[in-house]
Amino acid sequence: MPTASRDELLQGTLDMLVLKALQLGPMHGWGISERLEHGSKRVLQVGQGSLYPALYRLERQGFIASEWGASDNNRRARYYQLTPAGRARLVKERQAWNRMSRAVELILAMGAAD
Amino acid sequence: MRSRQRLRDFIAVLLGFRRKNDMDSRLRQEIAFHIDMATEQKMHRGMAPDEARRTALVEFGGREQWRESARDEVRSRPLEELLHDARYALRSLRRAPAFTAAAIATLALSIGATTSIFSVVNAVLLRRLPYPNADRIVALCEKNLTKLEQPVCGVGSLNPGNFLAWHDRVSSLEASAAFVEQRVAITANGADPIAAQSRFTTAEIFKVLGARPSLGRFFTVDEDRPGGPNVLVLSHALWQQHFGGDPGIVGRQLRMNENEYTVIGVTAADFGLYDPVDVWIPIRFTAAQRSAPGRFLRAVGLLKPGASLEEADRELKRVALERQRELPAFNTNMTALARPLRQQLVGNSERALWTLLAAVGFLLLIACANVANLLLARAADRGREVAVRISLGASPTRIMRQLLTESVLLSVIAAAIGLVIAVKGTEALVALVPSGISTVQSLADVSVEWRVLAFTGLVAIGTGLLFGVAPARQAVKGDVQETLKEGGRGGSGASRSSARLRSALVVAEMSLALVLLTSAGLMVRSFAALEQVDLGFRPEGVLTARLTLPFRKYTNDTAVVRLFQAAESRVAAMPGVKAVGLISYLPLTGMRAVQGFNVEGRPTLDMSAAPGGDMRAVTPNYFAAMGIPLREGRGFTEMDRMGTPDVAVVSQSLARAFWPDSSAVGHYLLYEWDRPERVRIVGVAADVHDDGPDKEAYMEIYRPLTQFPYNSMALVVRGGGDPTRYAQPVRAAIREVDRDLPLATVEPMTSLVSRAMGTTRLSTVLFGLFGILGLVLAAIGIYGVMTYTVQQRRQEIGIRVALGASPRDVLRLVVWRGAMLSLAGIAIGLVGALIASGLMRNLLFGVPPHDAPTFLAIAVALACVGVLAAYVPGLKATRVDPVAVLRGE
Repeated sequence: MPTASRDELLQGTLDMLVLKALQLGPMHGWGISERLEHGSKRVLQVGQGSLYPALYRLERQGFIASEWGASDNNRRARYYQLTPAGRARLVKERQAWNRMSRAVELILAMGAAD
Repeated sequence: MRSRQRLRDFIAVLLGFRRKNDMDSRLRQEIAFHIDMATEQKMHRGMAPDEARRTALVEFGGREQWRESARDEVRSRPLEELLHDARYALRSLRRAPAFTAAAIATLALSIGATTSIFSVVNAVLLRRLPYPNADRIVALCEKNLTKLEQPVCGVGSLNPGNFLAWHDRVSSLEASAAFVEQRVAITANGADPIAAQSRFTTAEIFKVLGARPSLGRFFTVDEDRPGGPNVLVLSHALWQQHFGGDPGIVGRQLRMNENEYTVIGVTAADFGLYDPVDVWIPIRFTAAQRSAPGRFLRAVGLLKPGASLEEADRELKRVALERQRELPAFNTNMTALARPLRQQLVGNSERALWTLLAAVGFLLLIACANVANLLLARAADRGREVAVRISLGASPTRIMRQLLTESVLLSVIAAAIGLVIAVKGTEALVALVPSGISTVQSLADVSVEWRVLAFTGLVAIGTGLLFGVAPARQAVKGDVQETLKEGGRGGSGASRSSARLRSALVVAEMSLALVLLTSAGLMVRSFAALEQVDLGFRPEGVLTARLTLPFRKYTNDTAVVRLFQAAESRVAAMPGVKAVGLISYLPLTGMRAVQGFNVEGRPTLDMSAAPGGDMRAVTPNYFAAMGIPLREGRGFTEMDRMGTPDVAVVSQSLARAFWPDSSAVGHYLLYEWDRPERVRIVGVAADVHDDGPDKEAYMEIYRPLTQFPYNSMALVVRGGGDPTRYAQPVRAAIREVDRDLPLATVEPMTSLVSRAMGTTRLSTVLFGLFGILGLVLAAIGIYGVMTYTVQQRRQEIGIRVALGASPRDVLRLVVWRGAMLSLAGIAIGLVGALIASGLMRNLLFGVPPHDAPTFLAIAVALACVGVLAAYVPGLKATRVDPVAVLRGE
């Protein structure tokens, strides 16, 4: 997508990050937001509410599946986990992300040489 | 109850409704949990509980907004997925062209046939009649309580005085009108006379039917009185055909029966009731007519808004009782009734049409079973594809929806083609429409009617789901691991239950086919029985035409008789003509003049209780020309004239009714026709089935034209060969006799006969067609299942052969299985057929509904077809190479 808008880019990124967070194992929504925050050394502040539309979208697309379970403090929580399709998707997104960031790096480097 | 609930859930999940509610409460719980956890974390870090909660809420952001956008992710789902599924389905259908073509062809044909029949049902039974207040229009008629037969309100059988009493005293009728038809000759400015059908009617007819003139105006109640002006309203058709649609027609003078009439209006193009009418004339009852006996009118009424048919019926019966007291001699035992106009127009074709619709519905079911079988075969091939997709995370429901989309798409495409077939097919079905309906609404726009489209749409989706559900469930039922390991070749539990399902489908097909075929068989036998009925005359080689004399020109009976005799002898002199006769009403036209009579020497009955004789005026040669044999005594001769003793020839049914053991000849009949008459029976003629072969012969009283003059007679010409070649010479001969004499409805007698049989013939042909199609489909079904079974059991067969089974044993194995399926289907079908034929009782003629020979023949034929359809796959099974099988190829 040559003219990806900023929102779409962000959205796509969030989806990828959620998939990545779930690669570590099944987790509920709160736990996923914690993983993202810890993982980014608190650099990345995921808008907590935006996590849920992303989860529902990914589930609809069949990349993640969910079921009720008990949390650490024994409360009812919805646990998400990767499906095989989600695993494959993560690999693909990661490749795309690598390509994209390399390309961005190249452009930025070109600016520095000027 | 529970299964209903489950079905609802299933449908809700299928359509994506259920998910939304579940989603909502799930989302609420998830967000609540999230905020609780965040609050807890903040408290852990030392925040006060209140503040921790507030901060957590702020960090989360607008909850309602996020809920909304999460819901959006779900909401877009059904339509988006439907489109996605449809595209996917199209692709996969294109990948299997043979399957797609077979399924679509089967479905398109049966949906097309179903839609055609439904179009007719819709036009005749469902569509609103083309009158503004159609629901409030009722037919009114008199009924003799001593006679068992249903009253026929559509045939003139109502007394003017009684009608006027109803008109004045029944308060639930807003308007009512009575009318009678007469053939007339119309002349405009010395042009050729036009033979026209006139309807003399009271003025409220236009109000009852809610008619608007397309030109001029209709006559008023004021004009419909004795001494009122000579005015008439032309039908749109006559105005177009004979006056070229002249806009200046209003105000013109026309001669009708030698009287001058002023045209005051033209009806709308589609206006009519019962038979086609060319001119509408005020009936202008005279004082004498108001009190005279005689029943010859027909009547319709308009219920007041809010009044019910029952109310009107009760009031009519009350007034009828009053009339009994007022005129006991004439009205004893006479009651009155109101019935819906549609019932009047449709008559007894209602049951035939519903039966045909049921038959074609059975055909559609068989087609569905066949396509379901094809889909099952395909599902077996696609087992691996489905298993892969399930293992990739697609939910079974999702896959089912996708498969169902595919089957619905299949049936929708088929329905589109079927609709095209139906448009063509409906044209061929016009004969199924009773004439009462066809004069008031045309079939032409049937195909684009919304109700037909909606019906076809529903049928398409319904059949798609019907034949799709079982195979789709089967497809997702299988064990994924198992299927993947097996390479989708079957033999697992899923394919075993699939085999059971396919057998069940074949059994169902066979039983449906049996019901269809026995019904068809009974219809064919009825029709054969009808064809066997001796109509009482020989229609072959006979040409008929109607001659109507202008009233004024032939003022006295002698002149009328002389003219008819001249015309008859003129035509008789034509080369090739063998016999020529005249009769007042031809058989099979539905026209008759019934007269109550008494037999001299027996107790005299009041006219309302007296038997009715069908009075027909004939010339001496009529019997020879029509081919009606005389059974006893003599026919009429030139010696029977005005002034010589009054004579009659009666039909056998009359003679038998009164003189079962002796001769009728020499006895006297008494009746009152204009004046009291006493006529001597001189001969007995064979019975004529006047109302068609399936109706009882009426009691006929033939009278010589000379003693019983009529001003309108049908000409009956018997010649050699094709009767239509006499049409032109007869026309010329009549013109030589009197150039003002119009000749109307010139047609061979055989076409009257085939018209009388037309509806029955067509529905028999349709039944036969549906039956044969059903048989072919069922045979294909068995063939398919047996071929599949042989393929599935190749290994077993190979081992059997290796262990020494002969080809005959193998063949027997397969054929036996096919025979078992057929027999199961036949056994179930027989029960259905017994019920179905019982329901068809009224449609049958000359064959009992549970006719054993028909049932037996069809069952045996179906069993043979079943065995034959299994025989071919059986032969294939004998060619299974045990070595190849055991090597695992």
